[in-house]
Amino acid sequence: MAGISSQGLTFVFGGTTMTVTSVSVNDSQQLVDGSHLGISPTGRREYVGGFGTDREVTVDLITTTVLSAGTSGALAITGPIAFSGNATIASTNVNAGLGEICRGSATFRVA
Amino acid sequence: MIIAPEKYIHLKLVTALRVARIVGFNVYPIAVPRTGATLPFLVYRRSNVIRERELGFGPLYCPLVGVQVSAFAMTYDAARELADEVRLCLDGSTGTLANATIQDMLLVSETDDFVDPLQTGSQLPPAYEVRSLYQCRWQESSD
Repeated sequence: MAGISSQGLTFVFGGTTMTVTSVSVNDSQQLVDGSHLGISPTGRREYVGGFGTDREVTVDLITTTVLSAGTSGALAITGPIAFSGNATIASTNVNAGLGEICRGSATFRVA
Repeated sequence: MIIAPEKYIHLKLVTALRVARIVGFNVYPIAVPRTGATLPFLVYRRSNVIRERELGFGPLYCPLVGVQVSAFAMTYDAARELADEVRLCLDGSTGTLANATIQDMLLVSETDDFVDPLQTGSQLPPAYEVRSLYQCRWQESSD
């Protein structure tokens, strides 16, 4: 597959388009250890999945706004990566540095 | 007229009394004219530009520009004094001049040098040079 540029990706949360420099969508699932009791000392464990997937979206922002953790809203990503859903801000920060543009980051947990 | 941080720096320098007292209007972009230039003088040039982008709409229109300001004089002390007056004028300077809006300006490095006309082929006498690098973030036109 030919590479596709990230350019053109937009990120909207709670109706506000955010100025983002990176977006990361991370899915994870709890797995149950289903190994039987007779597994040998060097044997490989067996894991069972199929439970609900937990999705987290992490973004790096150009911002001076301090977002409020715990805020929920509709999240929509369009462009080369596309996805939407309801999400809640799990953590957020804003940084100001000497000679730098004000930046921030936020992690959203998708319902 | 082009709007650029160098224009801000030029106007700031030629209107600063303590700098103008030493160099008058002898503040030049890139190179010194072959005629009419006498020591001491200042030469400025861009050394690098970093333009940052965002994913959705591209440019942020507030690039980080490195501007090198070189102070030339007959003696080392005179070059140092001139560079120091430039520092007092530019380091930390913000605002709008020549239609260019500077958000932030920092003096980030200084280097001393000697210009030997026997080696460089210059028509000028030997001169001491203090090169100062200013890092400035400015609001670039988006039209």
